[in-house]
Amino acid sequence: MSGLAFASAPLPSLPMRFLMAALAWGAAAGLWLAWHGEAALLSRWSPVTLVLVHVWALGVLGNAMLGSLVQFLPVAAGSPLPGMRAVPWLHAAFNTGLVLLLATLATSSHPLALPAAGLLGGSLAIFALLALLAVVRGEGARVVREGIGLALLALIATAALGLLLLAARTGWRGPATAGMVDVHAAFGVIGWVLGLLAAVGGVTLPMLQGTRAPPAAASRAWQITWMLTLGIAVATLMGAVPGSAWRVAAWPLAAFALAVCVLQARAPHRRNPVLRRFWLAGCACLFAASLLALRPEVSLVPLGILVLGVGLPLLVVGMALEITAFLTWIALRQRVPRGVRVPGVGSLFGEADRRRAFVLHGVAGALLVAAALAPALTRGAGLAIALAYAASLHGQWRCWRQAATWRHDDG
Amino acid sequence: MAHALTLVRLDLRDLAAPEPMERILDCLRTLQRGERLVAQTPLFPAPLLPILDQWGFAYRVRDTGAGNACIAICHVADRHTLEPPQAA
Repeated sequence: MSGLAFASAPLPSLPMRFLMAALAWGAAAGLWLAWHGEAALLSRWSPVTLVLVHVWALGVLGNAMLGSLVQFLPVAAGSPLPGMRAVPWLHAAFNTGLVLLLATLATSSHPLALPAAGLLGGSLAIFALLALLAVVRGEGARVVREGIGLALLALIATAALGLLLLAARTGWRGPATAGMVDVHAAFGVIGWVLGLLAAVGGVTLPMLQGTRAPPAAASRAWQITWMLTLGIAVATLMGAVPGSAWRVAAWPLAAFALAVCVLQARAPHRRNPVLRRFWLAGCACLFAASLLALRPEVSLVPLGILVLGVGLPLLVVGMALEITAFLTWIALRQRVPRGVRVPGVGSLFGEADRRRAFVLHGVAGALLVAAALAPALTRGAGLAIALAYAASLHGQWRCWRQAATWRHDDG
Repeated sequence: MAHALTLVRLDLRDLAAPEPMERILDCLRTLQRGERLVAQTPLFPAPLLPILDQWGFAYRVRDTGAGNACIAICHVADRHTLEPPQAA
């Protein structure tokens, strides 16, 4: 393959803007929680809770997943995202649309709903279609490309259902059923986020945590049962199976968490201990949520806290910090003339800073889980979350700044 | 004629990202005209390729299965001698 074929490999600044936005939205989620206190965790239907859920789902997880795709598509799928010049515009449209959506949800302000739908739905649809094109064109491992492709289809389904729900909320169409909300959530969390984490994790776990690659047959079995699970979610919406059947959708959380733990335990080369801890703690939350989901008396709020508020964010924050150091190193290497030795990744984002970030996120996550049982802790949990994300964002910025400011004399 | 080039081999498949890239770029600091570096990497080295373009190296990359890749690198002036790298 010639060098010209990869002239469109992503500039490190492209994924970085998504990763920084993800952490900034995490701090915003904490402040929102601290402001509204226990009202944010009382019912999944309150506007305050809807805002919080979408800050986590789109602001934190959405930005992190889109940024990771920009970076990993060339490596995992063997093909870069086409139309790389559009990425900054997609990033701006996605985040502006999210702000407008949150304003719509918080204030029931109908005039903002249409631009919110256009910007969010449009940016997600364009991004998903471009990424699907990359997956189809790619020459990477087929099981990885298909996993990414299926996750992208789930993203499109999630966005389409989200637009329908927004239309129902603003009165443009009849009220939405609870089943449609559950399917929207299942496609978003299980289909898009977990599906993409599993597909890309098959590459990043060996690369960054030193595990063995999951066997292709196991990945294929995961994909088939994962699709069956989403099928059950749709069947629930259509009334073909009992409404409580949606709880089956929790099993992929358990399967994913156990697979990560087994791969970590059997890793031939254990690397990046802080990243491993982020993933272990995140997977523990996902596993706990899958067990809770089996108990009909448990409401969805603690499940949402464990999955959306703590478990999945721990996975993506750990990855975001790791990728930040990696992107900084690449940007620095591209800027500094050939022949000049640049600092290693480990010294660009120090182990102590990453450890501190893990401790802060761990404490904040524990407080948030405790707040599900003792609502008086909610404001404290919110402040702890804001602090953890702000500290991570500060560390991320300090690391990334070195790409522009590091001088040979400094080293 | 590729066989006329002095061959430098690296097996980097057991290293964590971005150490394979760091090792390759370190090695290129001393790669002379008439030498060729062949490195086995744990993944397709996509982020490395723009840097190689910028530094004026020619290269060929081959997928060697199980997600691994093999990259052969030489100075642009030697690019006519570059042939698909062998993993062994």
